[in-house]
Amino acid sequence: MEKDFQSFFTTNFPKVKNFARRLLKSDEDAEDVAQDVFCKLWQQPEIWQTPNDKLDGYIFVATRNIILNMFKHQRIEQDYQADFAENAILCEIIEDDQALKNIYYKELLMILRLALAKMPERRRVIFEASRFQGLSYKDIAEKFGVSIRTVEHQVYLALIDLKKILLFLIFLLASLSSTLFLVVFKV
Amino acid sequence: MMKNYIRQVIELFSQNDYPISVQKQFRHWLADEDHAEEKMEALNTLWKEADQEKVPQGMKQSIRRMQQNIGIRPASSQKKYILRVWQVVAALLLAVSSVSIYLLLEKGDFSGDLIECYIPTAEIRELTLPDGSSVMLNSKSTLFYPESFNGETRSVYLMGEAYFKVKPDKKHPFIVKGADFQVTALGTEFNVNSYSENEEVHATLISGSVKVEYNNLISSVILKPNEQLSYNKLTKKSSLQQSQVDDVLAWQRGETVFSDAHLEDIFTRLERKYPYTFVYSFHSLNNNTYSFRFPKQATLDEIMKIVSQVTGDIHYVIKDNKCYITDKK
Repeated sequence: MEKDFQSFFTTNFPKVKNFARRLLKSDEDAEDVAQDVFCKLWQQPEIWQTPNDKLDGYIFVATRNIILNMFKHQRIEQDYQADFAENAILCEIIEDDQALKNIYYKELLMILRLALAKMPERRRVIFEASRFQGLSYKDIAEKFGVSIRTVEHQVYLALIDLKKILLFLIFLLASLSSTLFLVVFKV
Repeated sequence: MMKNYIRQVIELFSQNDYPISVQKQFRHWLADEDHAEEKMEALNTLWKEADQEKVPQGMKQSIRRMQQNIGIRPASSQKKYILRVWQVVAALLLAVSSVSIYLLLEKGDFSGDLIECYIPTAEIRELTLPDGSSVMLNSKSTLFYPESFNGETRSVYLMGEAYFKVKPDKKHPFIVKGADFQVTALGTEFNVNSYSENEEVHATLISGSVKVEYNNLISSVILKPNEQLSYNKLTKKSSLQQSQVDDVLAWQRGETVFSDAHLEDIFTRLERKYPYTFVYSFHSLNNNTYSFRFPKQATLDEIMKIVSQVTGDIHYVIKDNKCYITDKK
């Protein structure tokens, strides 16, 4: 039985750990989760002792639930001012002042945050000073010791970066649904 | 499946590193009940991708930890301690292939107590076996040997790397067993490298003569001095080459020598020698091979400085007990 479990472990552990690491961003946490998954499985030999096509789905669900449970128990501090600023940026980028009403508003917000975090450091800091702290270009120029022209340019580039990611996605989805519509229409 | 917002968020997040604040927002978003079904579908896609990735680093430690979790193997292996035969069999059942177990038990060489000797990271130790043969064990290697040799052969079991200087005794061949291979010697000096996380096993003969059996013991070759047999456990391919004996034995002098090694192999070996864990993503490593020779007193920082200068495209940061490798882009 131990030998069966060993080979079951060797085959499936890498996938579980890789998956967990993608979401947890930490090698140690991913290892803990993966070990946890297999400890639970060890106690349920009926699941893994006979090979079956549901096994992979079972391991996936077990792993996913452990991770989602961890996430659910995490509190986050709500920063209303930042929320307001993020909403304003979204409206500015997708040129729609009703962004909040989009059923994928939370997703748009997440994509905005992910895109911001990946921006070159200086550009992001200048952009955030302008849009989150509400500083004028002149104040920002003084704060960072650069010209107003530079600040303008960096904010412009930041907006382009964000538009590229968000608008591309919105455009892609819109064009996909319109093609779908056309096909239906022809039929 | 159509590319949607949900998939885009999960894809972006899973492929990059983000500051803790953003990670928290992502966790909050993922745990949120809205669009739960689409989120699960997107996670399923990520799951399938995770299957295509490489085996993560430290698989050996993961296996050890699992064994401890389910209560198969005693917790501490830092010390030398005596195990009853049945305990060793239980431990080995998990650690090696069934073929080796069969070999181990078949001849009944191991009667009485077995001794397990595990060498932790960054250490090298020399020990003398009951017959007077001496063994130099490299870092993170384990050797099982009996309290006394009283069978027809003198058999030991190795996971890792060791250099053997065998006391001549033609009546009792000296056998080093490992997963999927074994080396039989009469009176001779040789080096065996068979870390379980490596795909390849290497046996190098220094003097005398040895027979190396591998590939479920179907294949065998008799080595001449300075010859090295390499055998890949996965592809089952083997090759015989003249070895740089000096390089093969460099580890005993505390030197660190790499010849035509990929960065990943270099990091795996440095992890054994220095008490640091390497953190990197596979796609940040190029596919070139490198050769290095570092003296005994070289620190990890000195080694990494040279490695990063030579490769030119990686950055490293050593913090606490980790060495972080990133792209220089």
